[in-house]
Amino acid sequence: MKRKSAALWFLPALVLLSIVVLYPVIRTLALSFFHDSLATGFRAEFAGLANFRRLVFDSRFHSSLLTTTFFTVVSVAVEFLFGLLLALSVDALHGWRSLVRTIFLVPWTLPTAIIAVLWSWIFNDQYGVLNAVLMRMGLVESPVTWLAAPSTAMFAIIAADVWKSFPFVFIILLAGLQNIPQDLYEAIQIDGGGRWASFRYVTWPHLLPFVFVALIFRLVQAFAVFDLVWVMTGGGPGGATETVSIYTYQTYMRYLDLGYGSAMAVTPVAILALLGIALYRLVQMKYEELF
Amino acid sequence: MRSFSKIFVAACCLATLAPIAWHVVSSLKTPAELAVIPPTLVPHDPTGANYRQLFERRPFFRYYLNSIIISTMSAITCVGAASLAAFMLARIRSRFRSVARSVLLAMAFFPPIVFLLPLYEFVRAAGLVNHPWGLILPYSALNLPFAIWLLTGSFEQIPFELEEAAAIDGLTRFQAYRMIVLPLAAPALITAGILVFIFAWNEFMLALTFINIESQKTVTLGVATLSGAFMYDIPWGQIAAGVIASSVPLILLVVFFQRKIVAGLTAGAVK
Amino acid sequence: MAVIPILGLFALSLRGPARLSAGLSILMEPDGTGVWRDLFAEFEKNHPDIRVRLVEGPPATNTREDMYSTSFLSGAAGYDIVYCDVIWVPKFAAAGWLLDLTSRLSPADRQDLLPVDLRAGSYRGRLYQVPAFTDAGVLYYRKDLVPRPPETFDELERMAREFKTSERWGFLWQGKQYEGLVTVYLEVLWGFGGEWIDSETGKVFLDRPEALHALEFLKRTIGSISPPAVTTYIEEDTRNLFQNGRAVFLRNWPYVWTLMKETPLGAEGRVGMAPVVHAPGRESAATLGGWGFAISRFTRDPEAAWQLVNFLTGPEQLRKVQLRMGRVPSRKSLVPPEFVPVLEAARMRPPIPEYAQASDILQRWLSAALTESATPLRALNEAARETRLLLGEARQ
Repeated sequence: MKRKSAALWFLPALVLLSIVVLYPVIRTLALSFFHDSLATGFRAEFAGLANFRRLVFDSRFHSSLLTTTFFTVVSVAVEFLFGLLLALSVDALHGWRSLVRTIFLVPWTLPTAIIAVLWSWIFNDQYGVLNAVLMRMGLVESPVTWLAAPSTAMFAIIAADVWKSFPFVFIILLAGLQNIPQDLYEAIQIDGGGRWASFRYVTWPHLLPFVFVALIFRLVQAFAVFDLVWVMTGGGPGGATETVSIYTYQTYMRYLDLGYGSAMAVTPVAILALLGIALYRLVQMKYEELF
Repeated sequence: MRSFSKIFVAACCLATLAPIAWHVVSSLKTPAELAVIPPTLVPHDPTGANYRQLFERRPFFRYYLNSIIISTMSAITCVGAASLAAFMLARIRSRFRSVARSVLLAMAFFPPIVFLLPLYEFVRAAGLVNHPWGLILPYSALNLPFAIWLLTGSFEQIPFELEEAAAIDGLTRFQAYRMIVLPLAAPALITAGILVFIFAWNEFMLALTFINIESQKTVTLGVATLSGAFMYDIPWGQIAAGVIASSVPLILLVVFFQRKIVAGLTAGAVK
Repeated sequence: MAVIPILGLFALSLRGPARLSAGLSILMEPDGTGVWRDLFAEFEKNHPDIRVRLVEGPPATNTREDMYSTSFLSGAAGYDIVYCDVIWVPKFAAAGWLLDLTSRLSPADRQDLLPVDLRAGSYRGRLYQVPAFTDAGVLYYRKDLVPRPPETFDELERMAREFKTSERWGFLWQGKQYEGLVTVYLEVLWGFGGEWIDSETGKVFLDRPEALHALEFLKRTIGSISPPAVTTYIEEDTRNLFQNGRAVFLRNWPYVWTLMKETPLGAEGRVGMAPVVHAPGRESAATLGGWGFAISRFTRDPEAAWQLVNFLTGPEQLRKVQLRMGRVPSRKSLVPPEFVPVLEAARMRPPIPEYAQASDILQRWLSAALTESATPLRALNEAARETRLLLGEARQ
């Protein structure tokens, strides 16, 4: 009796999750082992590992993986830098905290696709305010075609992502900082330690779990980046900013190569999962006392 | 050191708000003034024409309506289903609960592109392409792991004795849930609801794929694809107006619910 | 109290997209000259019971292709009529999104339409797209500078070198990473006697010597007879330069000829048009382009759709567009004489459903070789391998 009625409570959630999460993941995984495209008339034909073999030789896929990794590492690193510094600074402040948190939350709340539009206007080569400021300050002589050149386009995208995502890191690290008992700092000061010692022996160890959580979330989200790149550059110029999700989306919706696209969708997840597990084990070994 | 902190924070506040302010300024400029190089800091001749054209030449009012409908229904559906599951989850044996939590956490780490194709097939088969529920259902489901996580933590805090007392008084479990537990958990429910609302409002990939009729687009999709709809001259004034118009509801949300949003975000970290 | 607005929203959420008004919708390029709008108005006048809804899309053809794809994928009747690029035909037809029009075309039209365009509008022997305009790569040259147009690659190189000055480049072509680059490369490839893909067997020929010669030819021009920036040029960039007298030779499309007449160079008859060059002993082969009209399988009124397609591809209507936009109609009766030799050299791009993917692979590697991030040899070998994996495995 109790079991059955208990199950009912889970029913709505389970139904939704099954249809939207469970079924699609399984189907995508399954489809990756089939040829299913225009060439097969959209009939699924078993292909074994053929799609994955094709991925191994697909230079565009390799490129997109590299691009995505570069974006993820640089973006998240800069976000953490700003997030940490800001959290430390705001924690040291007294008062204004509510206002500051509100201000910093705004970028995180805005749609990424809109943020892409916003920064495209700022980075516009002719009418954009950034070029105007740079030229006024004499840092550049002629307008920089931000979104039309490979290296600068990536910079623009990273800048937009940092602006959007640093609040997330900031909020979480600030919460972590506010959790640290004051007497620990006093103890360090009594022992003669300065600011750096406080940070190294009190702040950082306590912050670590929060850093870990924020890091994991941000890394996974950054790797899956789609909205920002799609709207700002579409993956260009010449595929220079094409991330894995963009190439996968094109493979699905433009090339209609469903089997191959599925293999492409699934592979990064596998790679990330392996890396994640490896990282988890590493961190676990190093900081045993925290777990 | 204290003053460095203050300056740094102030500078970052400026850097955070400046891009938005720039769009407010740009949205009030005439097309002629927008073409001036270098751009002017303050509009010489501020005009509301860009905003007016947004609503006249594009179905912007419909975009808003669609977004409100989809985001609200997503929030309600998600929180509804999540609270039912979380309520039971909070009362079940510890081991099952932590397993469930880990599974839910794992679900949150799939890049959305993995769901896209089968979901599209399903939405198509169900005749929900270009339909609000074609987005409401996925949005609700995609936020369930997080919502359940959040609400389970909150439900765990509510003393079990209250339910026992209710049972003695002859209430069914569902009645206890509805009349006693829910009101107590209201803050967490609202927090979860707000976060789901924001997610649904901001989502782009599914909206891009499932909606191809102008009148059914969400605000986010509509503004992001605004420039693609124009021939040669991209009307940056209108686009800036679109950016601001689509941001205002969210900024209001942040201003009024900042504490709740922060609480929701940090709940996962502060185990 | 919050329940009432929420119930209201719930009720609203149940409303699906409004029934699209009856009539035919078509997605086209931006109608700058207004000629399409005029034609649709004329059609509506003659057919009072049929309404036509023109949707002006973005100028980028790739984007419109994706808009059509998305619409078709959803299965709903998005657009009734497709203003269709020839390279989309195999993809849309293979996906089953287009109506078979083979039996609808009148014998008179079949006679009048250019054979190569009819082939391009067909897939597996059935006609899906009624051709409207044709296009083929053309070599423009400065009649006042060059005694006679070159016929071979060597002659082109020699003449370009001879007549270029510090103010005037030798040879302009489109080298940006996009479909245009493929059309340029194919002409050189075919001119050397090479091949890209055999659409019947799926065999790929990019790692043959001719393909390498072709790529090396293009690469040689960069910085010598062609500006270094040629790898960023699309059609309009090269046309503007040529019109302003900044080049001896230009490879571009027929539309330039019409627009040229309004410039000093063109008005004074100082520009000539010739078939694209080839290797000695080979033939000139120009990449075929073109646009036509196809009907969506999901249309609610195929009869009305056919009437519109028939009307739009009729000689009178095509002539109007020809006059206003300079397009060359696909009808033998309407092709201006100066274009006949050029069009005779036109060759189709491989009519395979996977064309978009194959073209993207080629574009990327050509661009890599031209911008020196890969050697031509490696670029073509990689492109060949990736294309084989694309075509070979799925067809086994």
